[in-house]
Amino acid sequence: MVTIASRLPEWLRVSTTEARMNIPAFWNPSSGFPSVPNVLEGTQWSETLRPRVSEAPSNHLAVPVSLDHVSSYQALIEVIERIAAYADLPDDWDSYGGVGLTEHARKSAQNFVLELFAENLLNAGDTVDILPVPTGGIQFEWAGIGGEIEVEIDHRGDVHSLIEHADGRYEASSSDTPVPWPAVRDQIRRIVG
Amino acid sequence: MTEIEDRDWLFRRLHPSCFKKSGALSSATFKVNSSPENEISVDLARLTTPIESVNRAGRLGFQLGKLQALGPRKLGFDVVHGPRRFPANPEDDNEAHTLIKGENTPRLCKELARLVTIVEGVRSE
Repeated sequence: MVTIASRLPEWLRVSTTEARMNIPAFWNPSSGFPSVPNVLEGTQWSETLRPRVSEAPSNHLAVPVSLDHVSSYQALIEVIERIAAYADLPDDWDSYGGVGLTEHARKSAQNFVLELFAENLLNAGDTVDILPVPTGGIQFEWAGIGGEIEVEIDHRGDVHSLIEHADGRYEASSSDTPVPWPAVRDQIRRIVG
Repeated sequence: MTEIEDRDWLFRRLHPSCFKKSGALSSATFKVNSSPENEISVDLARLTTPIESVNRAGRLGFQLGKLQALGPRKLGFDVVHGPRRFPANPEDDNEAHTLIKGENTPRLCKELARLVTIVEGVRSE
């Protein structure tokens, strides 16, 4: 058994109560994880491989070492670590006055990647690129058979998208109106197939 | 002020985080100076050198991108020379400093990124 709590952000390992609030239904400590993320459907579970939450007071998420090798979990951990790194970027990191990820953007990005993870979009085709935006946001980019999509989470934590369809047409969300999760999920699916 | 010709080359410092896994430059690089200001800093190549321009980062690991002034102009931007001078620290003056000015959008950032080619063999020291 390997505990990966130290590699997860603080909000994922504070308490069972908060974990229930923050972790989507696929991580349900009270029910012993009967539902699993889409990405893990088909996994042959055994009692020793079942992920579980440590007992209070630690309430740390713990997963068996074999689960650490599930590519989607690896992708999730890597992305969360990258978000944390972007939040730590120093002022003027790009030498043009850029700032690191704001707190609003960081929280929004973490929720966004959990949604991606649950929908098996985090490592779809291994094409996702994740980059800091100098104004305090973060950008996710996919390329696929439908073209290319950029999803920007701005410094306020609002989500915007830009699609370049395979035929060269552009489709941009309004800068004033954030794109809700279901809509951006559908946009990503249309691009990556 | 120096008149900038369409064929003039412009330098832009590029942090390692600006690049996608494919090696292509991300549009995020140009998402700077949110509304109402829309000014992107570059250096006019003929008034500096690649190594001088990239070393203005003051840190290791930056690369240098270049694009011709005609490119942003075709996208509707103005490209104007704007030297930066620091009377208190004249060693920081940048006579090559130039601005790509105009209303910017995510789509234009993507188009700008595609105009940039990497100056091979140049990294900040």
